[in-house]
Amino acid sequence: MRTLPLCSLAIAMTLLLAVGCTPANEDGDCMNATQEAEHGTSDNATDTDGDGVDDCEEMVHGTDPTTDDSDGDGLTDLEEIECVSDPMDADEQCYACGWAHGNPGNLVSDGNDVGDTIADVDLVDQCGESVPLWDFTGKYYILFLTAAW
Amino acid sequence: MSYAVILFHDAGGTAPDGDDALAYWESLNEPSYPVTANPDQAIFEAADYVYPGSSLPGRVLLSPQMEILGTTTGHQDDSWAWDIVREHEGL
Repeated sequence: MRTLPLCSLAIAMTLLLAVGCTPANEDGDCMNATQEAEHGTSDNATDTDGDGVDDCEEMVHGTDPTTDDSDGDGLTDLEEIECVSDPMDADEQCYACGWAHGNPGNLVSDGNDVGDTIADVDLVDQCGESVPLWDFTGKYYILFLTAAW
Repeated sequence: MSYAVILFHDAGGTAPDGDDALAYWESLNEPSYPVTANPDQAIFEAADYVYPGSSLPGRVLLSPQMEILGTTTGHQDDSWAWDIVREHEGL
């Protein structure tokens, strides 16, 4: 009787394990079926909640891939991402005038002289919305002036 | 580079509101410029540009990182601001 060499058996076993144990990835996105199950997403759709933000992008943004409005503020995750509003903060929404929400990070005011970081002050924009000054962080050079001259 | 304007006075020299911001924005003819008003005029405390002995109007220029780059008072155009911006940008 002919026997298979031991190394051939090892190779066959490795191939079987590789094929048989690799979880499926029906939708071809960044998550296999096991990972999709862990996140409650579908392995048959790249955008489980149909909000225009792929499941994998939702992972990056920290949003819920199973609901189209993760913070429940009435704006979809896609709308908030596009207007640079935090889709996980119900108190932050898109500005009517379209300003991107800046990210002041750990900004701290250290005085009111030239070279200092200015304190945050409350503003009202031309669309009538309240805008904290620091929401413009990283976006614009800003000129304070009077309309009286 | 992008720019934003903040009013601390309306046309009459009193505290401005959103309507003043809108009127100024329309007069600027620069649709991409955010124009806002500072109704409580907190800028008077936030930036020390009302020097002793001087009077309004004053101007304050901020960098995108919220650094006070310059202040000025008196009647003049905004060329001083552009000079500071160019220097800040290394142009």
